[in-house]
Amino acid sequence: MSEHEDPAAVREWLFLEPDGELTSDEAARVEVYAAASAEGARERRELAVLGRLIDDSKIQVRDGFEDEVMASLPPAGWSARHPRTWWVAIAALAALGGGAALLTGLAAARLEPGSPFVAAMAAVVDMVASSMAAGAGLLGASWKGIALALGDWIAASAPNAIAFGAVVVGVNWLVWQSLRRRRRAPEATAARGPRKPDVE
Amino acid sequence: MTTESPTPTDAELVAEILKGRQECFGELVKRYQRPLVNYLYRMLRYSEEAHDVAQEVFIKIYRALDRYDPQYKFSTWLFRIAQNAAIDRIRKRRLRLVSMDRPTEDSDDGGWEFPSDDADPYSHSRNRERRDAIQQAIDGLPWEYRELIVMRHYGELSYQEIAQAKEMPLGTVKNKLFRGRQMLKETLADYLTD
Repeated sequence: MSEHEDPAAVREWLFLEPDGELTSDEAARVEVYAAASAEGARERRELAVLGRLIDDSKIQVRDGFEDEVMASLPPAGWSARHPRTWWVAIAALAALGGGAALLTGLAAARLEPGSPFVAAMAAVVDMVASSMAAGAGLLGASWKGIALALGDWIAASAPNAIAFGAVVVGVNWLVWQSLRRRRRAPEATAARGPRKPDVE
Repeated sequence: MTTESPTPTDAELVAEILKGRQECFGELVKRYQRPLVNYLYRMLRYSEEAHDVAQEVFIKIYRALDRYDPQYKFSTWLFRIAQNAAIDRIRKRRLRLVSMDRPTEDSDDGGWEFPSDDADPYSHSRNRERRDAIQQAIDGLPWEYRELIVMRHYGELSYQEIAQAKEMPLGTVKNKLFRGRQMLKETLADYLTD
């Protein structure tokens, strides 16, 4: 060991040597230290024996353990929400929509033989757009009507207002509870980091 | 001439499982069952319990596989979950007021867990004495050293993997392993002469 060598550092490397993770420089310094010091050589031998003792104390995995694990695998949540499932549904919906539009266009072209197929399709698209606009208007009016009726009911008496407030608080509480329960799911806890142990 | 396909990485196996090839999970179990069971055995002391918890850990891992982030090592993730599972078990055991110091329940059954080539009673008794001494020495370590020694020797994790699993700097991992090993060497001094 050179006179500038830190003995504590070299001794620490000596203890870590059995792991095989020292740099080549650290390993070389340990080699020099163990060769030059009887104490170092003795500790090195003892550490090798310690490693063997620990290795000998390992247990064997019981026969058939892998099969036990494989047989007990549950259907995983992720297999149900696999992206391919969504693609199949979307593709089926698009195919159905396309087919329906094509049939409607062909039927319209047959009813008006003079007009070309493209014009018939444009007419169909116009009709669908008008229907959607009408539907949206109707829906808006319905919601507005419900809101007006509810407003009148709440304003009619104090108990009505209190009952409405209780319903709002109750719904919020239910949503909060369901969120808390989901956070406690085992898969979620499994993905978290290490816990603080309370064992000594 | 045939070319051998390279061994798939853990992350590649996970990707295959998520594509629907469940049998690839068997390969992961094969890779990690030995270190995982040994790690849990050292934490929990009972072989049967270690196997049960190892099975639970594999199932938990399987269920949460779509949340595995390949930027971390699979082993790190697995041992984090195993550590939490072991701590849960120890807490439950304490709640049941079972002493941690009772002798191992399966230490007398011989059987599969400590196979020995030595048939004579003296060797058997000496092996058992050494095993008990190691167990006591490991149990006697402060928790912060014990868990790292167990991760390294029984879980077979690298320094880097331990650092990731424990969220501590690499230098701290090395220092704690050094100190833990130093204590073990002192405690087991009688057994370390060739």
